[in-house]
Amino acid sequence: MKRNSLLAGMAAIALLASHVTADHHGKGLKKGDVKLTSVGPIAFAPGGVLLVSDPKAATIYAVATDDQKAKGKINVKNVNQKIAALIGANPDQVLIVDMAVNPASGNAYLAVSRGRDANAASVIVKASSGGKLSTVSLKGVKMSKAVLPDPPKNGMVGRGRRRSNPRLSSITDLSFTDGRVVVAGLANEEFASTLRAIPFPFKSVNKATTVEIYHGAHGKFETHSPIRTMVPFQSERETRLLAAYICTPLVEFPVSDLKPAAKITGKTIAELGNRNRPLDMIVYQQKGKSYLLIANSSRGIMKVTTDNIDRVKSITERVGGGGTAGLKYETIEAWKGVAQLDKVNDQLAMIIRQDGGAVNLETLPLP
Amino acid sequence: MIRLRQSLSRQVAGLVLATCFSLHAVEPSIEWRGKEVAVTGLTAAQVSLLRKTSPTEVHLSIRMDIGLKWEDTPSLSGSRTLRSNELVFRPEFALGRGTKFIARFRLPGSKRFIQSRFEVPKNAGKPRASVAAVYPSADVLPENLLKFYLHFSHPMSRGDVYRHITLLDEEEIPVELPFLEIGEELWDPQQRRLTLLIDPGRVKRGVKPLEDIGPAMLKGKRYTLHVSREWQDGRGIRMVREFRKSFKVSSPDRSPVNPLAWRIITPQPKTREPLKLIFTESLDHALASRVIWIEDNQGDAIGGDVKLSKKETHWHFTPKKPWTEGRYHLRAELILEDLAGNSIGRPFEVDVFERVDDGLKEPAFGRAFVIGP
Repeated sequence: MKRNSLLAGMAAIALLASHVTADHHGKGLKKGDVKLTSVGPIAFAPGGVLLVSDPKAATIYAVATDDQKAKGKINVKNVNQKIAALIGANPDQVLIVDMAVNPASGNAYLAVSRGRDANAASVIVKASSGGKLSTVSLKGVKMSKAVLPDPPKNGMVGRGRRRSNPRLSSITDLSFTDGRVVVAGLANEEFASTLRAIPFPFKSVNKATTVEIYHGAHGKFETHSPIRTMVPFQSERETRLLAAYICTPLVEFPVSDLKPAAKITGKTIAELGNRNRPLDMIVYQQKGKSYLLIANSSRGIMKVTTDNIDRVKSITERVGGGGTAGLKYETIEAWKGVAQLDKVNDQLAMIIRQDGGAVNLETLPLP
Repeated sequence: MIRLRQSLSRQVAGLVLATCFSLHAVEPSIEWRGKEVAVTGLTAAQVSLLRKTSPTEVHLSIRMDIGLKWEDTPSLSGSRTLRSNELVFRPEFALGRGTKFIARFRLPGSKRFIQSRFEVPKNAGKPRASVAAVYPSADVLPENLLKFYLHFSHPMSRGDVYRHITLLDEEEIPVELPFLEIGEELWDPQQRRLTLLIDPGRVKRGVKPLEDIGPAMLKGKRYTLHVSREWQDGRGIRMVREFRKSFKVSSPDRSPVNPLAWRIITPQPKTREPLKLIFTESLDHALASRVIWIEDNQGDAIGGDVKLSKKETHWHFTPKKPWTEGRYHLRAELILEDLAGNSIGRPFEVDVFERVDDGLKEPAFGRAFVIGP
């Protein structure tokens, strides 16, 4: 971790003593440089290990953050402008791709594309105590990586056949659960959707489990369905993955279903309504109950009760009139325009949202 | 680099007299050298003072002029070094074109500072980018069309592509949310080709968007895909011209791709004539270019170039070396799609009540043919 500080020495770069130590997940990390060619979704593994996806290189990096515990709530007004100021760019050249809160420290990490062209630099920015922003150095850090196999995998043994085999996948979400890094991908040619579960700490990506995800619409038709955003969820019986497809339904399936070459048809447990795209999800506990919070493109944040998630039946009947079915939810209108969402703890969430002309990073009590 | 202003400032208004006296001394000045900011003209005493504590943000702070107050603006990320009688700041990232910034240097051992404003020149250049091609190239497209490919003459900018693309109906009224708007934006690595997916929610049967608001396009109607001229290329300069593609919509296509029905037109041996495939329908431009190939009888792929023509219904393969007489195999990956996302042996939507199984268990389709007598 690097930070520019009023008090630090020359060059204002200092490696800070680790207050948040990596647990066994930090094992297997070796000192090295992470060179991002692009930046996609980010997430955290236990022990403050930051997982960064590089979709262009089809690579997932694990980086030890050696983070310091945050003091107080982190709020940054005009966060996009301030990031622009930090990295010397025009504000319109700053794209905040994703945000993840380090559960070990409470600091927010932002995946930022600096520029809009094909050669845009990828930067990880940290928001820490007092709303201070700093770039996260990826040089000489404890890291490891997993390179995803080329997505076109069918029968590609032809010697010399392939003129070029560009990496085709976009990574739509990244999550850590049950000792595995789960990566949801979308190709830019074939309408394929794959979910890979890579054992972590990374050893061999060959051990990744690739499954195909389907959407069974009303029990009659099924199609490949790319996942927009996902979150692990501990139900009464087992760990499940809650996933929002890119075309509205919220589905769930047990993580234990992530077996090699499995075909999974997610059980549709909620429809999110028309003209609405899911953006981000978190799960939290409140008064002994679990809730799911979904940031979405067109309305206030949706708070879903998960009481009966093990027993809810798949939505098989037509849901007409713009209505919704399945799990019950309430819309928190005060949380409108949320583009990024992550949990700090069971009381607080961090969000990035547009508020009038400003884009702000805010810490809010969970609804 | 345009140097806008260098000013003397005072932190304490009451020190006017002292400031006047200090003006007799030679003042350091701040320069912008394109890649670094340098404070020059430092005295030996000032360098010595700086060296004692090492120069930090307290001594030299660079802040971008982004319309926020100085104290609300984070200091630009970078490193400071002392070189003989200069203090040099190097930003962590090259400064963006058209950005403005303020460099403020506090005189060592004093509360006074000098500051200068600078501006990085804007990107100059004329528009040069345009839409070079759109696939599918046909002017009649199925109601359940799954995607367009937009090819550009030059690399483009990303981040808000959906603002620049509209689907217009016959009255030139934009269709509401016809595309799947995903933040990742499906680009090729050079950002010269964008894959534009029609919202699958408005293609797939039995899902809410289709049932409630209907398909993005209706059979029998005419539509226009419109790309605004305001879309900027990778340099941040808008396009040469807008782009329009007008097409009519036909019935939905729910049949899988069937390579057994393709015609194979074989070339003469000892020539480099193209081998031609004639499909029964237009196929996906990118996939038909990538996932169909020819193998010799030993299973080795033949090197050569692929071209598509006639609205992506004809596939031409020109080998690097002349054909020899013998048996060959046409191969295609099962992911090959038609315009509606139906692939080999598998329609886009599988009717789970009627389906027996996918049928094809092989990793790729294969079909033998012979060149020569």
